[in-house]
Amino acid sequence: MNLLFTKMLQARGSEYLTLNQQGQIISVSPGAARFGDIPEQVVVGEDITRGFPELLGLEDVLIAICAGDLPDFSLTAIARISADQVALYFDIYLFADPEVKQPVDQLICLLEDVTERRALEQSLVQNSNETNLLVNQLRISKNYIDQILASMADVLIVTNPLGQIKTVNQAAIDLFGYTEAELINQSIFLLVKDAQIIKGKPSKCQTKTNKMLVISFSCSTLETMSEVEPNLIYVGRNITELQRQQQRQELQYAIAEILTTTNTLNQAIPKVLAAICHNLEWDLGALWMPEVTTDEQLEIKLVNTWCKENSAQDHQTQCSEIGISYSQRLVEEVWVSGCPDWVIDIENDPRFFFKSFVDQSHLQSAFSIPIIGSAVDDDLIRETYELEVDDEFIYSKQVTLGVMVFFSYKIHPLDVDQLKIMGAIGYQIGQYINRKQAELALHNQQEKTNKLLLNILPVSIAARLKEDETTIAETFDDVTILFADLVGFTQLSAEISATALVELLNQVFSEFDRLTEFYKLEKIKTIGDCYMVVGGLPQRREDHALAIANIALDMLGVINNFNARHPHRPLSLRIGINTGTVIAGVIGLRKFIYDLWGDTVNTASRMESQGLPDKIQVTEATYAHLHEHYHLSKRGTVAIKGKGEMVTYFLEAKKS
Amino acid sequence: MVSISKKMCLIGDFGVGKTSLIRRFVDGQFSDKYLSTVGVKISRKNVTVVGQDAVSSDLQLLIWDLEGHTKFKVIAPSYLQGSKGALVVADVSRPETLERIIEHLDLFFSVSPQGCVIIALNKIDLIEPEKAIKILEDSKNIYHDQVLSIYNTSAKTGEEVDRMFEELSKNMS
Repeated sequence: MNLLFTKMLQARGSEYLTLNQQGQIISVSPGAARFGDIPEQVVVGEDITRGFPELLGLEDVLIAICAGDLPDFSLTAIARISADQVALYFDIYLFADPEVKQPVDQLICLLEDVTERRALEQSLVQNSNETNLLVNQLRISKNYIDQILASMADVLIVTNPLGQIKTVNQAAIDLFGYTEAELINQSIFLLVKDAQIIKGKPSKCQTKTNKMLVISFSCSTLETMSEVEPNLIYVGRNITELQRQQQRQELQYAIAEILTTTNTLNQAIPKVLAAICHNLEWDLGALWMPEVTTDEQLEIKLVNTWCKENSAQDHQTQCSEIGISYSQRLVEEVWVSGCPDWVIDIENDPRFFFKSFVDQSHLQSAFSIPIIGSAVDDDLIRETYELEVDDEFIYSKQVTLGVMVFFSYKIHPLDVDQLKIMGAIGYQIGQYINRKQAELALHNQQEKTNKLLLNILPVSIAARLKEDETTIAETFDDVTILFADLVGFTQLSAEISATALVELLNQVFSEFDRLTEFYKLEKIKTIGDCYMVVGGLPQRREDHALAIANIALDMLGVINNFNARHPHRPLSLRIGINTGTVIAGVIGLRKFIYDLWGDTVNTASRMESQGLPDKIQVTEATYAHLHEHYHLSKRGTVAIKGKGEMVTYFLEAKKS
Repeated sequence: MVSISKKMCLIGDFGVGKTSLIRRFVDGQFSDKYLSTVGVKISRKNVTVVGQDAVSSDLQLLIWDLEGHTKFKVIAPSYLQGSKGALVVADVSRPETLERIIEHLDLFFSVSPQGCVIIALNKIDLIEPEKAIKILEDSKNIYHDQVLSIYNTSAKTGEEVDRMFEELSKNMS
C-alpha cells in the first residue's frame, strides 16, 4: 500500500486491514485489532471472519470487488459492547486499492470509529422511539376510554365550571336526541330542566323532541392541570320508567287509602282527583256523574273539579267552566262507550270545539276514564238482604257510574300503561260507589225496621231486645193500668160491614194512640174493641195515676166529639183503672209483644168490664193517688169476680 | 472448536423485542427496560442441530440484531447480505407492527431469495390467550407459503423462544 495513503488514514484516525479475496488478512494497521470481536484473531494470515464475524457470508462481495464488478461495500454502525457495557461503534468500508489496476487480489478494509456519532444517534433514536411508543400507548388508552364511554349505558356529560358541555357520550346523544355538535359548548341546562342538579336526586330533563325524562345524576369533579377550577363529570341514569312505576304504585296505594278512610263519595272525590293529578302529573281533574233531569232524562253533569295549586289564579275560576263546557263531548263519549280515551293534542281534536277556550287555557293533553260499577237499585238491595238472592244476579249488570277527565298544560304522549292503571282505578271507585249505595240502602232499611219495632215495643225494651236479651221480665211496683172498651161494639158488628167496622175502630184507636203519645204513656195492646194503656213503665214515673186519669177523661172527650160528628151511630166507652204491682216483659219467639201480667192487671180489666158506659171506674188504690187533684164519687161496694167485695169510685173531673 | 458459522438476522419494527428475544435465547435473561438498538450488534451462540439424516452437528449462530424499522429509517439491505435465515418479529399488542411483517419479508427475500424465515409474534404475555390464538391463525392464513413457521413468543416468559431459534438453525443451509 502506498505510503501517502497510509499516512492520510493515520492522520484521520482510521485503522485498516488489507485482505486477499479469500478473506485472509495480509496486513494490519497498528490499532485495527481493537475493533475486532476477538482482537487476538486480527493478525496477518488469519481469516478476517474470525475477528470480524460481520464479514461472514460476504465471500461473493469480496470477489466482486477484486474483480472490479463492485466498487465498494460498507457495513455501518457495527456495535461492540465490552464486558463493562461500554459501546464501540464503527463502520467498515471494503474497496480495492485505487493504486492498483483491477483485477487484483487485494482489498482494503477500512475501519472507522463512529462511537461518538452513533452514541448520539442512539439517544436520539431512543427518545424518538420511546415517544412513539408512548403516543401509541396513549392512543390505545384513549381508544379504550372512548370505547368505555361509548358503550356505557349511562349518560355521561362533562362540563366546565360554568356548566358548558365539553364532552358527551353516545348514550347521552341517543337519549337526548341532539347531535354531539349541538350539545358541545351549550349549557347543561339545555337538557336539565331543574334549577340545579342535586346529586342522587332525580332531575327532570327534556329531550330535543320535548319528551320529559327523569334522570338521577351523580356528579364529581375532574381535576385537570390546565384549568384553575375543575370540570364536572355528570353520570346520569335514566330512571323515568322506574319512577313512573313507583308513582303508579304510590297512586294505587293512595287511592286505596282514600277509599277506605272516607265515608262518602263527596269526601273521597276531591282527594282522588288530587292524588291522580299529583302522581301522574296532570294539572286539572274533574268528575262527572249522571243525573236525572226534570224531564226524567239521564244526563251527565259535572260533580267536582280539582286543579293544581300553583296554576295561575284565573285558572281556578276557569276550572269549573272547563269542566262544564270544555270536555263535555269527550266525557259523553266515554260515558256511552265505557272505554277510556286519551287526547294527545286538544287543539286538533274535533271534540274540543270551543276553540277560543283552547287558546285561552293553553291546555294541551287530556284523558278520560269511566267509573264502572253495577247497576243497583234499592229494591234489589232489599231483596238481597231479605231473600239472600245470589249476588251475581244482582251485580251482573255493569254500567258507567261516572266519568273522570284530566287535563295538562303539557303534551302527554299516549301512555297505555297509565290508561290501564287508571282503568283499574275507575273500577275501584265504581265498587266504592256501589258499596256506599249498598250501605245507604241498608241504613234506610234499618231505619224502617227500627220504626216498626218501636211501634210494637217500648224504646228501652226494643233496645234490650236488639242487644239479644231473649226474655225480658221485670217487676214494676207502682203502675196504673187502664182498659177502655167500646160499649155495644159486638152489636154494631152485626149491623155494619167488617171493613166499615175496622175503619171505625181505627179512627177511634188512632185518636187514643195520639193521646197515649201526648201523655207519654205506654200502649200495651188492643183486644178486639178494648184498648189497654199503662202509666209508670217501662220508665218509672210518680204521676202515672194522674196521667192515666187525664187520658181517661180525654178518651171520653174523644168519644163525645166522635158522636157529635156521627150522631146517627152514637158510641159509648166504658173505662176501668187500677193501680198496683205488675210484671212486664216480652216472652216467646215470634210475634212477641210487650205485655203485662199480674193481679193488678186482672183487677183493672174487671173495673172496666163491671163498670158503666161513659164512666171511669177506679179502685181504692187508684183513688188514693187521685183524690187530691180529681173529683171522684164513691160507687160503693161492688162484687168483683175472683176478688170478692171491693169499694170502687167513679172519676168525674179534674179539680180546677 | 466449532467450524461452521451461520448468519441469521432479526428484522422488525422498533420496540417489538428483537434484542430481547436474542438476549433470552443467548443469555437466558430479560429486562423490561427499553433500549433502542442503533446499527447492528452480533451475538454468537453455539448450538447442536440434528439434521434429517439423524447426524448431529455443532453450529455457531451469528445472530444479527438489526436496528428496528422506524418512520425515519429503514433497514439497510447490506446488513442482510449473506444471511441464511431471518426472524421477522412483530409485537402482538401493536397492530401496525403486524401489518408491516409483509414489508420485512419482501426486504429479506429481495436480498436472500433462498433464505428461510420464521415469524415471531412477540409479547403474547400482554394480551388475552384467545386473542393471541386468533392473531396466530390469521397470520398463518396470510404467510403460510412464504415462511417456515409462525410462533407466538414471549421474550419475557421465554415461551417458544428456544424452539423457534432451534427450528430456524436446523433449516438454514
